[in-house]
Amino acid sequence: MIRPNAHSAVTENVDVAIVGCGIAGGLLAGRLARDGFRTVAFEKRPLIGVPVRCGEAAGSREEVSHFVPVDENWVVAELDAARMYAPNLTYVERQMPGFCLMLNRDGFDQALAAQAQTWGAEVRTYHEVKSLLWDDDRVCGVQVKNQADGRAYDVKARVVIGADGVETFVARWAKLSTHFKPRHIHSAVEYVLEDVDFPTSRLEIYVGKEHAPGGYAWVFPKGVNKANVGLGVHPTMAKDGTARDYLDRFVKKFYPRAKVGKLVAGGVSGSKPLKTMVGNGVLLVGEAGHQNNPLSGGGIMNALEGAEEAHKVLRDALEKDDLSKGFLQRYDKAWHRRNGHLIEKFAVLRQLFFKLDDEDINNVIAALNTLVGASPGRITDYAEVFKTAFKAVPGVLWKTRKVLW
Amino acid sequence: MENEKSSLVDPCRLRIDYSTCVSCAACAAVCHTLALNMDALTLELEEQLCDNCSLCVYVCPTGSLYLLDDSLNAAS
Ligand SMILES: Cc1cc2nc3c(=O)[nH]c(=O)nc-3n(C[C@H](O)[C@H](O)[C@H](O)COP(=O)(O)OP(=O)(O)OC[C@H]3O[C@@H](n4cnc5c(N)ncnc54)[C@H](O)[C@@H]3O)c2cc1C
Ligand code: SF4
Ligand code: SF4
Repeated sequence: MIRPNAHSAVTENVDVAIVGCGIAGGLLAGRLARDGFRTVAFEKRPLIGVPVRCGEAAGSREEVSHFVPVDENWVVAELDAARMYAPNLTYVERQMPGFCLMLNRDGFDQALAAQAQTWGAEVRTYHEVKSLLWDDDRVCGVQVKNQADGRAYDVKARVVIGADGVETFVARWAKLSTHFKPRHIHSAVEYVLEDVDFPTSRLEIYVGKEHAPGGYAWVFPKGVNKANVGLGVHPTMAKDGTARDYLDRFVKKFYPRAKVGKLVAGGVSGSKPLKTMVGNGVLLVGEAGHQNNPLSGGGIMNALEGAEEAHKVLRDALEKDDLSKGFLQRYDKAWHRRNGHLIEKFAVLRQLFFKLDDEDINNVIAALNTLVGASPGRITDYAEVFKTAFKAVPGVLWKTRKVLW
Repeated sequence: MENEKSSLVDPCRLRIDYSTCVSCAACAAVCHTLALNMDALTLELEEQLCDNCSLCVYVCPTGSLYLLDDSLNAAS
């Protein structure tokens, strides 16, 4: 049988149309294709993962290799420790051997897409999805524009996946979410700095109103003498300029002699989970589904885990030929169990964090230092950490009452 | 009458400084009217959808967006 050509007037039929071939889209395309479903991922950028919009700090080698075999071509460092600086530049440090792989995100995203192709998925770069096709109240496909020749074509799909990242239009076309409100997004920017003696296996975080109001600055090493140095701010709390202005001051203060390389920027979800990530014939995954950690903004591992949960439910739904919202809601529940319940808590903590002034943060970090000194090993007991933090700030409950009640 | 009518329309005053824009799409994520779209690698503005709410201006990490009147005010 000759399949209808994507560029012809004949409408193509697939099982799964994935909008966006980033982390979530790339992993999900591969897993569904491996199950035998005809899967096409549309990526509007000409080259997967380029330009990079990320600080590139992921989980451990073991965590990452669960999703794609780790390739030293896109791993640039393996970190063993994390240090957090208070506004007064005292710090708390934890040793956590191998807890974080620093990636080259372009290479990483390309590896996920290549894995998807190996498993039989089709990846169409430079093809932008322009709208959804509807059959009554059900999404039944996508309208695509081939950016190379400007031609538009339709693809009918049993299910459409919104893996289109923070800018998601799929979520909005499907009425699953609106725009990100400025208070639910980090305005983030980063330079790749070179020619400075950075710690090679420790990442560093700086908090406080001077460096990053409502957010934090980061130093993520990328091998010898090279690091991603960036910050994210709460857009309406940043009174002294844009995120880039804050970063320029930060770099001038701490790394005045560094060679400033590539500029990376982006919005990062700081939102609580969506009420639902599914509709009839449509499902959101990754940052499009608000799956990031709202406090840290971290979204790499979350997008992978989101795609894994989506895959399990979609496989069953496609086999049973039930792509209704009712069936797909199993994914909402699975995500809530795996990560959503934590994301809810981190969203509340982010609101609390906004209320703290620099003096409060100094006190919290001093108290955490005592806790770290008292309990060797990796801090896994978050309850203990937050209890300590709360105790360190007299009146914190009063300050944050509007968030908690 | 003519004046009254045009004042109701409020034409788009948003401007993009392409010399500093890095195509990061943060602005598109917060635009509540879908007026901003990252078309592959170039930010596009559909002027007739924009209501000058300035959300995108706040969020742009590189300060590449501004509303025309604001810059006039700032200048004066
Ligand atoms: C400055 C910055 C630093 C960050 N640092 C970190 C970090 O250190 N660690 C971490 O874990 N996370 C970090 N994040 C967050 C992380 O990068 C994202 O959460 C993650 O990339 C989300 O993955 P995703 O697959 O959901 O979306 P994305 O990786 O954004 O992929 C979405 C893809 O969809 C494509 N697309 C969008 N619309 C369409 C369309 N209509 N048609 C076709 N294609 C479309 C896009 O081009 C894109 O390739 C950072 C983010 C920023 C901006
Ligand atoms: S000013 Fe408001 S409506 Fe206009 S492009 Fe920006 S966010 Fe969208
Ligand atoms: S947020 Fe700013 S830098 Fe990013 S795409 Fe929009 S205008 Fe360009």
